[in-house]
Amino acid sequence: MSMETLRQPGTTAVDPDLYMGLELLAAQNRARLIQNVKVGAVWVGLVALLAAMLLGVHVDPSYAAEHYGFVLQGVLTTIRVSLTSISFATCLGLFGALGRVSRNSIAQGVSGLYISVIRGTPLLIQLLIIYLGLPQIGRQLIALGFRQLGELLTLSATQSGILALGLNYGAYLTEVFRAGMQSVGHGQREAARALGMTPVQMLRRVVLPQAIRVVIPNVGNYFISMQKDSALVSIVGIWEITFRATRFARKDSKFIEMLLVGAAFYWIMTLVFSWLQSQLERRMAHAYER
Amino acid sequence: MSVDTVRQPGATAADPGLSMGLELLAAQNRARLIQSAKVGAVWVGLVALLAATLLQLRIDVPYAARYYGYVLQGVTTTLWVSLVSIFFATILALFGALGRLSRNSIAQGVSGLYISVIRGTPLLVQLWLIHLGLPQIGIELIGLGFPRLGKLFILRAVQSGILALSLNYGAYMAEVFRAGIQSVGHGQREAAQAIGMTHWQMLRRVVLPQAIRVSIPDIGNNFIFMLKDSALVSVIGVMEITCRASRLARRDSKCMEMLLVAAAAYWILTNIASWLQSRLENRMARAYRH
Repeated sequence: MSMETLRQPGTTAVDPDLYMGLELLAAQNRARLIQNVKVGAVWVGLVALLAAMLLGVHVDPSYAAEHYGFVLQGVLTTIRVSLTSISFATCLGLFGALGRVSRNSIAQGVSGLYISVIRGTPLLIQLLIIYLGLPQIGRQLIALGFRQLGELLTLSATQSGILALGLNYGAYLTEVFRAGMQSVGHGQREAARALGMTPVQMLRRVVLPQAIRVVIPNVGNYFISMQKDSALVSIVGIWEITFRATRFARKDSKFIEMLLVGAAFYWIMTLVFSWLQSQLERRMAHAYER
Repeated sequence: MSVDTVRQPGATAADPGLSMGLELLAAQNRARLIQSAKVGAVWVGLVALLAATLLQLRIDVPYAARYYGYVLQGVTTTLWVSLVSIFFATILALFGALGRLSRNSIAQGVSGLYISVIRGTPLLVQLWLIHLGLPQIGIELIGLGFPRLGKLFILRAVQSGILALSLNYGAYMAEVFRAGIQSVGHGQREAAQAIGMTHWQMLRRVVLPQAIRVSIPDIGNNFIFMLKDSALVSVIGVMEITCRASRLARRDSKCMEMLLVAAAAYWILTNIASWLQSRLENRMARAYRH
């Protein structure tokens, strides 16, 4: 659209190219809508086909309808475990990042070893070490006479699960915090030091408020990941979705029914929180619009 | 360093700025080496401290020395499961990516649903569904008079594990493959179509060779993740590292000893794999250097 065809205030002439452009846009939107509807129809068709096949092999929907409430109660536990763990992981991530960028060898060494070990071993092993290994050490401590310390190490299933998930995700969030802190321009740090701020003040007033903007969307993504990883804590006996689903499944050999119910709950949770995440990201992008 | 101070062939005068620059570089390298040595010393110190604490708490080192071989036999199973799964996952990811990019609604719908469901549910639930749920369907099919089809659904533990890991990682890798396929310039596709290639010829000869090259580092990264996620198949009884370790741990109540051996095995495996990965990435980057 050339300059002279822009609508000047007061003119009434309309640019013919404008109409063609708008029609093209409308046609494209229509085509996109039709494609989405087609794909949506395929999704519905696939789910219906799967449901028909499962009914054909005598999968029992009435059993699922009877017991889905029991599994639904697990959703609260899953969300609670995930929220607690991600909060703990965020704190660990912050300290880990501070350690990684520190010039102090001890801080760098501790955080480096922590990250390397956690990222190099499976979450399941970490969970088992905390749930089975720590009480073993605790028993030894009690035998040696340190009763309180020993009992401190004997964690319940929920505590073990939250600790394991928190430690594991803390190592990954360290990278996120490090990226966030480094995204704050070096010039700002120099200016803060020039003003006479201590490093802690600089962190609190200059670096972190800006780093948080990068960190929060990533923490959101990890939170969604954590909800799925929280299924692992069913192995140590926490009554979350997977545990509740497999309980009835094993009792009456109705594996497909209950596990599909559990899977459906996880899927819905993921979709809901992913949508919330995209809304969050959109709002955070507002501040940087020109 | 300005252009006129660059060493011209034949010139013998040494630029004083050059030697100062080289000295600075050498000083920086020395400082970096000293820092690395310090951090390495902290790592050694921490591990020694941990070992001393555990020994003080009467951790049974002879027991670990006697049975670590049993746990290490699991390394072959872990590597085998991971390699086979990453192979199938790559194939699935390729088809998933092609499906997502396709204009065909059915292909888009199937791959979109596959990716959404797998990414929205935990790996553990998928593993249970395949290991416990499929035999349930198989038994029903046998009962309905399809014995061969039904037996197909009754998988051994290793097969269930590989199938679950492949399906899971295929969905996650599909997104990266999609980006890789889209990274091949649009102009190349136009040129291929202008030459008269069919869609499949274009994929086979132009797009995929370049797309796979871009995706190989990601396959390597996912292999490292898969080494750790393979620990999950221990819950269905595949005799890999974690299963062997927890077997002995539960039998003799030597949880810490065996789980630490298992953790060390995974840590060494992932470090070796990471080192190979970085060498692979360096080799692949060589082709694009000027």
